[in-house]
Parts: sequence; structure tokens; C-alpha cells
Amino acid sequence: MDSLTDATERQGTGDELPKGMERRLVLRLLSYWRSLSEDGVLPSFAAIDPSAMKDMWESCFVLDIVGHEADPVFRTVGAAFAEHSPIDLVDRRVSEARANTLVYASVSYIHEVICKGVPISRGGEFYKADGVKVLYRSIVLPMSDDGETISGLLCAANCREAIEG
Amino acid sequence: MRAFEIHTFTGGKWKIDSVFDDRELAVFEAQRIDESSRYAGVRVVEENFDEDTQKTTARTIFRGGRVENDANRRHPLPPQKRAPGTAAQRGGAAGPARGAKRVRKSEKSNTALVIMLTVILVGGLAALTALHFLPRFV
Repeated sequence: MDSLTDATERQGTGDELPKGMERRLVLRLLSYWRSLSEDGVLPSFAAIDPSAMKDMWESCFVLDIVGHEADPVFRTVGAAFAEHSPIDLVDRRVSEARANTLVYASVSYIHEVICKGVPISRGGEFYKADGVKVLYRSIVLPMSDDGETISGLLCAANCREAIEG
Repeated sequence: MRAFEIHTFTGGKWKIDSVFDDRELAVFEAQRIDESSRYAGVRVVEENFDEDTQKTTARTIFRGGRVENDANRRHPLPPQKRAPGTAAQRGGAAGPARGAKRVRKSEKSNTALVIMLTVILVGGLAALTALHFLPRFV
């Protein structure tokens, strides 16, 4: 997974991106999340400014946890996921995400994030319905309305098809 | 299963900052945190969970921070073989106490050893002296 680059990330980013590792979507989003988090207090969704993270926002989705702890609900889903998901996920529950999709892989560890209360990034691979192998990297970030209790999750992921030879 | 936890040292204890499944990413992020000087210390702990033995082993693969070395001395990681869980959860608040306990226990056993050796030495000298003077009184 170390050499992953991704089409989604390349498309909308331009030349202003930092080089190498810092260019990774998950690290850039984590950096943005940290900039909103002061003294270890979890940032709130109100602090997020999509216009300040245009290059990342399309690769993000937001999960609402309040009242849906067991099965969070998608509130916002970035355009980059449309090509990876056969259904519109907005206002749908996590359990409705189709298997073998980027979103499905990305939400597989959200309960670990809720339990630990810290950002977690995972990558891996899955096979699409057409049998094509996909490499992905994702990150799930805890968000809070009061700074302590997790009220939602900011998630991001990107992927690329693996060429198997 | 392998995980790389970034721990930051703040408020006198280690706290989990973030978790990665990729060593390179974790170390890079830890270096970035270190350079920001936002925390007194930062470290990356690699955790390996053996599903066969149900045991987790942990080792620190990155250490940074201005006072991190001092923090590590005072708040070391717990022993290598432990039950499942996270390193900071085990080593954050509880770990340092256990580490300190181990040091105290080690100091106690050293003191007991010195006392025991002194008693044996004095006893031996007393026995030799007694044997030396005993024929004069027989």
C-alpha cells in the first residue's frame, strides 16, 4: 500500500500539493483535522469549511452518530464515491453500503474509532463486482459538538485499480 | 494483526493520538508531530496481535520529542507480552505505575541480597574465629 497513488486525488489537486508522503489524502485530511483541534479537543463539524479543503472534500463523507450509534447514517458523500457506489448513500445507514466498494471498506472500522476516540487510517484491497482488484487507503476522524462526545465521523478514502500481471 | 499507534506525551502521561496500519505513514506523521513541537514527546508503538496465542506484543519503533527520552524513562512501556488492548490504554496511566513498581521491586530484591550476603559473610567469619580459638579452651 505504500506506493499507492490515486486517480481521485490526482484529478482535482493541481500543482499546489506538497510532494511525496505529505501529498497523501489521509495525511492532508489529518493535518486539516489537527488544525481544527485545539488542546486535544475534538473538532466540530461546524468548524469544517469545505471551501478550505476543496481538493479533499470530494473524497470525504460524513457519518452522523447521534441516535444512530449502532448503525450511523451518511449525511454527506463526496462526488468521488459516486463512481465506487451503485447507490446514493446520503441519509442511508452504514449497513446499507454495498460490499466490495470503497465506502464499505472505509466504514469497516468506524466502531473502533468511536471506541478509541482517535483518528484511524487503514488501507487494503478489495475486489469489485467485475473482479478487478482495487487498492485503497482510508481515514476516519472523530468529530464532536461539545469537544468530548463523538457526534459524527469525518471519513475520507481514495483508491486505484491494481494491475495484476 | 499489526497496528502502529502514535502516542503523544502531554499532561504527564502518554495518550493515543492516532492509529495506522502502515508503518511508513505512522512514522512520517509522528515526525511531523514532532517537528510541530506541539507535544513534549511523541512515539510510535508497533503492536502485533497473535491470534493463535491471543497475545499482543509491542515495541517502540520511533521516539521523538524534546523531553521524550525523559518521559520514556519515567513512563516506560509495559512488558512485551500482554493481553489485547492498546499500548497507551495499558501504558498511559497504568503503565508508568507498573514500571515504577517493577523498579522498586528490583531495588528491594537487591537490598535483600546484600543483607543476606552480609549475614553469611559475618556468620562465616564468626565460625572461623570460633574454630580458631576453640582448641585453646578444649
